Amino acid sequence: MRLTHVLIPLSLAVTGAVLLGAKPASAPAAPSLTASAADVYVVDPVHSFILFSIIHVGASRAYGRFNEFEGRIELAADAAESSVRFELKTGSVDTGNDGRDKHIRSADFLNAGEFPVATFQSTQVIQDGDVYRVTGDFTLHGVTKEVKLDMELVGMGKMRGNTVAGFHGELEFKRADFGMDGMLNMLSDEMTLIISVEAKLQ
Amino acid sequence: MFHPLPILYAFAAAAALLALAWHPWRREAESTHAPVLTALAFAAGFGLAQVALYGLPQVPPSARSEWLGFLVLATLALVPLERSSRGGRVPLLLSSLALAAWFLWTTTGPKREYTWDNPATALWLGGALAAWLWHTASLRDLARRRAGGPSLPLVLFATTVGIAVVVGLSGSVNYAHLAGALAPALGGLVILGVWRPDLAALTSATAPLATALLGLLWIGILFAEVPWPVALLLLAAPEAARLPAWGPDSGWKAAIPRLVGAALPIAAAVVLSLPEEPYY
Repeated sequence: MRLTHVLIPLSLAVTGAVLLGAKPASAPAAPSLTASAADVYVVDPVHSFILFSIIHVGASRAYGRFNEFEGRIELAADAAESSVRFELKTGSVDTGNDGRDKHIRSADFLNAGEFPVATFQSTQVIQDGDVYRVTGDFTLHGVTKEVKLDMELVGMGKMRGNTVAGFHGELEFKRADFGMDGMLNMLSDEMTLIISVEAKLQ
Repeated sequence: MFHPLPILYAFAAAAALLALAWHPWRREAESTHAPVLTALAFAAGFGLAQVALYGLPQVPPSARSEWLGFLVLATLALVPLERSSRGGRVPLLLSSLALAAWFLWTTTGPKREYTWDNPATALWLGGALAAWLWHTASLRDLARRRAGGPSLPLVLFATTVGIAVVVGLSGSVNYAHLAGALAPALGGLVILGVWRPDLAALTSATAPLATALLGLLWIGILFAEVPWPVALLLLAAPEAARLPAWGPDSGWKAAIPRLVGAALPIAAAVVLSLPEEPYY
């Protein structure tokens, strides 16, 4: 057997093995949001938070959270085709005090028995770098108003093999505009809904 | 925040209509329209207090609880049936059933959509309808048996105040005001009962009163998280007033044992509603 008959297959095998097992020169690129025409992201409630804040007696900023919510973000290559929707259960409000939670659920505030769900549905999405400037209809306490919400793309990553994207936005509104005018002497009219979500690419 | 003016409006409107109905300053018989005017006095007092509290309601209302005011007004149509003898009983029962079923169905929309499954819906609506009919019949019977004097008005006044306190303790000042609006409408009847115990003011005028009491408790359960056993205790208070067997049968002093009988379930309901840890 000629030596070349042995060395050529051997070199090919070694080369192949090296190529197959080789590490690339750099890490793989992070998942991109502009990869396809319409990526659908569904909010993962375990790794997401919807909070609210309000000023108490003009002195301090008080926070609470909603424990039950859903969300869906559709991002198209053309941002105008994108959409954002959130839906939260008003009865799931949690401020760390049962008595206060009950009061906030009552007709004095959220009236969760009458209006169990609050929703945000986008009507327009404009992309500005990593920020999505979203205009939409916010329905709270049975009243629907147009609001603006800037959602920032915080980052992207992998979670158990799935591509996930993180978004953060703050929605400021006056609660009296939505008919929630209880205890305006103690709690500010201005409220902020803080939406910080991790959403899984479908 | 406590608003006293709606209470004054309710008292003034109800008292004026009761005076118009019964002419308590005269010895002769009352106006022929007395039962209708008495029923109207409750409805008007309750309605006026609601308007003073929340403004004129939208039609249809934006909140389901606001249907209660309309329902109380609708029950005025039952007063002629309540006055008639046997022939009116079946139509009265069917009309009461239809109004109650409509109100219960309308107010449970969010619960049926988001919280209750079909068996729970059937259980809640069936139970509420049964309680509704029982209480309406019971109040009618009580009014017939204790036609005059301050006993029954005082018991109903105490029950209404109990509902307002329980709803307030359960977390809703808003609905506590609504419940509290009925109490001043009953205040005129208490005064009338003391002044002219010979007048059977409540007979044939119980439909709007029973509807307002039941509706307030139902709203408390649905929208103010009042536990249903607490609501049942309050519902039983007028019946419990019959239990004490001591004391005179008529006159001012007769009201004392009746009030004691009613006060027990009302007090139990209030104690059960006390928050474990107030947050204020």
